[in-house]
Amino acid sequence: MPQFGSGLTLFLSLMVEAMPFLIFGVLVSGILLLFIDEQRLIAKFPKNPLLGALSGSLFGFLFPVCECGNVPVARRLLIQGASAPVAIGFLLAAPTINPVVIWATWSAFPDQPEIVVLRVVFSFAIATIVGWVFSWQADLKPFLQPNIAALMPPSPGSSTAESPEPTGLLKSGTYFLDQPGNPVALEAANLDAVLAIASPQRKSLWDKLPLLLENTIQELREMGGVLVLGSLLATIIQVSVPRNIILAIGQGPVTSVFAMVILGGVISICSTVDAFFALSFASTFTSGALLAFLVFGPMFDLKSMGLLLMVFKPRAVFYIFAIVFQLTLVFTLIINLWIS
Amino acid sequence: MTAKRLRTKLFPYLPEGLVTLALGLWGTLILHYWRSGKLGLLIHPNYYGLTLAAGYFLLMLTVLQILKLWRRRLPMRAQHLSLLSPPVMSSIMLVAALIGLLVTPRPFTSQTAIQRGLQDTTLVTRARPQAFRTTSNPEKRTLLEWIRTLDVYPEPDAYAGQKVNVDGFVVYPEDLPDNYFTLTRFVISCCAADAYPVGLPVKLEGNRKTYAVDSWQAIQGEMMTETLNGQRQLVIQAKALKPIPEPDNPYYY
Amino acid sequence: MTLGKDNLKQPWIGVNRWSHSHPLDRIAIAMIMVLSLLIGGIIWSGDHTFPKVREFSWQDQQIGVEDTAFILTFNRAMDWQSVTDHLKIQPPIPGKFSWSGRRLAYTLNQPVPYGQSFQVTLDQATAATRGDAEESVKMQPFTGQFRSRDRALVFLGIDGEENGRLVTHNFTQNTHQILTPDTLIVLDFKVDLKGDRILFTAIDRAHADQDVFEQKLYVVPLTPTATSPSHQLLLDNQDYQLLDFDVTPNGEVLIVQQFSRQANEPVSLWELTDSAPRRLQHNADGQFLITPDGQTLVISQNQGVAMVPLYGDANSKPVDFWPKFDQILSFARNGSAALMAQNNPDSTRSLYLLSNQGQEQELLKVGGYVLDAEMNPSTQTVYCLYTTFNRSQTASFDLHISAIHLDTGKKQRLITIPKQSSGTLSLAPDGSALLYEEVTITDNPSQSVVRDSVGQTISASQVWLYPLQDTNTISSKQKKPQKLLAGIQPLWLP
Repeated sequence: MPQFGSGLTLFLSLMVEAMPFLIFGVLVSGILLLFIDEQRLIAKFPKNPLLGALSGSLFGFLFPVCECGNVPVARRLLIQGASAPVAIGFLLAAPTINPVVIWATWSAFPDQPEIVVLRVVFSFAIATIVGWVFSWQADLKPFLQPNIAALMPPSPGSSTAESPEPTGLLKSGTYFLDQPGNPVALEAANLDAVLAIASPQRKSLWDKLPLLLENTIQELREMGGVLVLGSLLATIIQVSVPRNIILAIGQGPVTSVFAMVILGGVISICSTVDAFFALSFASTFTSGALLAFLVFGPMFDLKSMGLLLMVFKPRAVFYIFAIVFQLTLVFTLIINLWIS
Repeated sequence: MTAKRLRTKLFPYLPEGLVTLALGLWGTLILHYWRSGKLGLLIHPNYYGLTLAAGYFLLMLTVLQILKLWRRRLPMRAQHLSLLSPPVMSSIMLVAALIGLLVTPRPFTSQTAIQRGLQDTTLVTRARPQAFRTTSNPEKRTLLEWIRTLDVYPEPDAYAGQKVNVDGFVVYPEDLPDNYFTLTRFVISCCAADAYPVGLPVKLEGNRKTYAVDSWQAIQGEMMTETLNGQRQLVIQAKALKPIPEPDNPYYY
Repeated sequence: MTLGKDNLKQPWIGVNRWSHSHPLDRIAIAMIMVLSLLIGGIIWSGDHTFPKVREFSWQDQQIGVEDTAFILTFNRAMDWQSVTDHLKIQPPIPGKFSWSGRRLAYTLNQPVPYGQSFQVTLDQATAATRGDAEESVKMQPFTGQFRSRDRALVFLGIDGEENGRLVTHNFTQNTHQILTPDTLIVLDFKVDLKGDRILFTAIDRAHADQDVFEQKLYVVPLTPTATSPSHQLLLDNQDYQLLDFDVTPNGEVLIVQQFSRQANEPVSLWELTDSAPRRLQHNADGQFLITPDGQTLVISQNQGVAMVPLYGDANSKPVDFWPKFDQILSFARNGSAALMAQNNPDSTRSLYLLSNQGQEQELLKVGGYVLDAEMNPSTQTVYCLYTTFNRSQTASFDLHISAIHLDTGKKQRLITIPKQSSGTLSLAPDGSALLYEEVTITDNPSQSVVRDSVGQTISASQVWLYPLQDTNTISSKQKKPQKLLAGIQPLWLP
């Protein structure tokens, strides 16, 4: 029973804490959708895959969203035709490489500036490398959830024709509800219309506000539900697995890194505040382990995995997870075993 | 697929109504916590403003959405079918908000304190150390300030005989004899998820059973050095204990 | 934009068979393989780091009596016992260990002996075994150095060109330096506890016959450089006459006691900071001292000894008042006790110890005057300078220094100087030695401009050093007083 009590407190606190950041992310993505000429913005990104990944990583500096908010923005970027390196670079780097998070990390570790610097450097490197890996796939659509892919502008590389395979509950495709209760499967013509609604040139500000409202509610529903599930899972694991077990392995240079990577993936704390959380382990855990937590957590955790699965197919999510996980291990193990 | 279409046809307002209700309830929940003073149990006061803004924003969204539905305008927009169907997503949020509204969150207890490593003596607080001052009034230090002071300069003898005046809740650590308990507080830096316990052992005249686990006590006494579990450490020699009600905001920051 | 029929087939949907691999599959799997190998290699190659000392708080520092502990910060949690066993300090200074996570505090049992270099070494200590380390790893050997402050004193010169001027003598570096110009006759001085400057009052040598009320307040750096001005006037005596002064331990606030040249104004205390002088206390004509915490003033008044807040206004009520005592002599360095003098009804005087808990203890009762008393840094022994009537000669006093051991109450007379009625006493900051002077007073005309408290000319004076037994660190083996040099009012530098 006390477990339930503290679990509930934990769950609600995660939700209440993350809600404003989620709303902020959704709003940024909505504004990006409706008020910014993304085509022109996206056109400004370099075509070179490595440079694209680099600039995508740095793009987060303009949009201080944490990992609850970066998925909607990344999804929007993809739909608008941003290249994979740009979108992936943004997706992975934005939660860490932005002024809010850097400031928060700095205020948590004022006497360990190396933590701040290395966090930024590692996140940047990992985001760029994963972005570069994804750049090998000229046409990303096979790796995206069908509804996202459907909204993407056709890419020149996609010429292989295959018939659609809609499946059960996760039925692919986008519906355009033109009359209440009369959904019409989206055909090519409608897609054009939908994009027309979203295109900034043709609507006045006044017309766009209802669309912003609509978009915000849609995204809050999807992301909010996932946030609930993610927070629930994080809570259950935190309450049922004694932290002592995690702490007990915190001293070894190798186990501590693994422990903190797993903790970072499980605990699903918003990246704007996770530095403060990591500080509670600063004395017992190796600095490599702290870095692993700070680098891996914002890029990939249970909560954001749910969000990622709404954009990418499981296979792509697995690639992102595996490469981010392994790169984090490589960097932080080197710190622990060679430098620290 | 046809069933799905049918359902949407039969309850055209269901998905929209559900999400509106869910978001509205979340807004209500946040404002409810704020008004009942329970928000402090969940998050650091620094984030009150942000969270309140989120609460008001959600309510505003709800009002706008109701207005729109009132005018019988269902969205003329592309809907993304996602991981789970929209009504399921809305219901998840709805249930979570209802639980939050119906069950009052409770502050963490001794059990959580032990689970989160209260006894781990090698654990240093994350709290930023404060300058070591011998001259500051020791009886004005809070439990956290004692821990911070010890963090900077851990020699227990340096504090021997200083007056102590602290409050917190009672934890019985397994590794202390039964005339000791640990007076404990939780410290949070952003939300309850990162709460960690700080505490000092209190030496009692008699058995600790007089003071129930999780009861809040205000303790007056003196600092002394004791060797517990083979380590010299700072212990509060209690002179007077007074039960106090649990404070509205039980955390330190 | 119009989409053709081909696009409607939505080629991107439904490609999830592994047989049909995309470039991303290939590169991602290759990447995962390579990284797995890399991680395996990194783990297999083992740990190339060692537990080590990350920070030593006294590294290359000059340590004084106020420094009671150093902190060693390790890069990981250490096996406390092994560190405790292997930490060596050369020459040894006894102390105790305390830990907070990865930080070790070593607290000295007694003040560091002055004028020495120390080496801290830690070797063979192991990290705490926890987690996956199969065996405890020996740490990287650590060596740190620190130095204690120089043993040095400042005094008022008496011989030749030093006469009436402030002089420092540094035993550690064996230097001797005159601080003040030959145009001034120094009357009184105090060392700023931070040890970098000396405040002094002086009169013009051109008007050597002026009385002491014409003194002005100056400051001089302890180690004058070629570029800095040697001395500076802090407070003139135009509107007010200066009686006495003291400085807070942090050196920021100066309290002066002065009275207006316009009549009808009582003697009062003023606070001098960087801003304009501020009147602190009316009607304070007694001797006064600032407490070691720098927060309060203790003033000897006619009716007793009062303690007033330093940062109050002119009408602040005393926070404490002891009607019983007549004069404040000094404080224990840690502020735990004060030494007070009391005039008894039978014309004797008593030395009292007053703890900050309010307990008082009579330490000594003398027939003459209690001139000064100091408590050693470990607050175990009080040294008292006092006079007794010399029975053989009328109206003459003998000067004594006694040690009073607080735990046993045992009194031990260390020094007696016959036929001297005034003097000073200075206990070394590390408690290792006492300084005092033996003066020769003359009624004959003399070159000397140095006077004693009743205006008699001091023609010669000898500074003595008395090594104390309760520290084993003093360089001299003998416990006999040693003649140091010619001078008066010797004062150890902090």
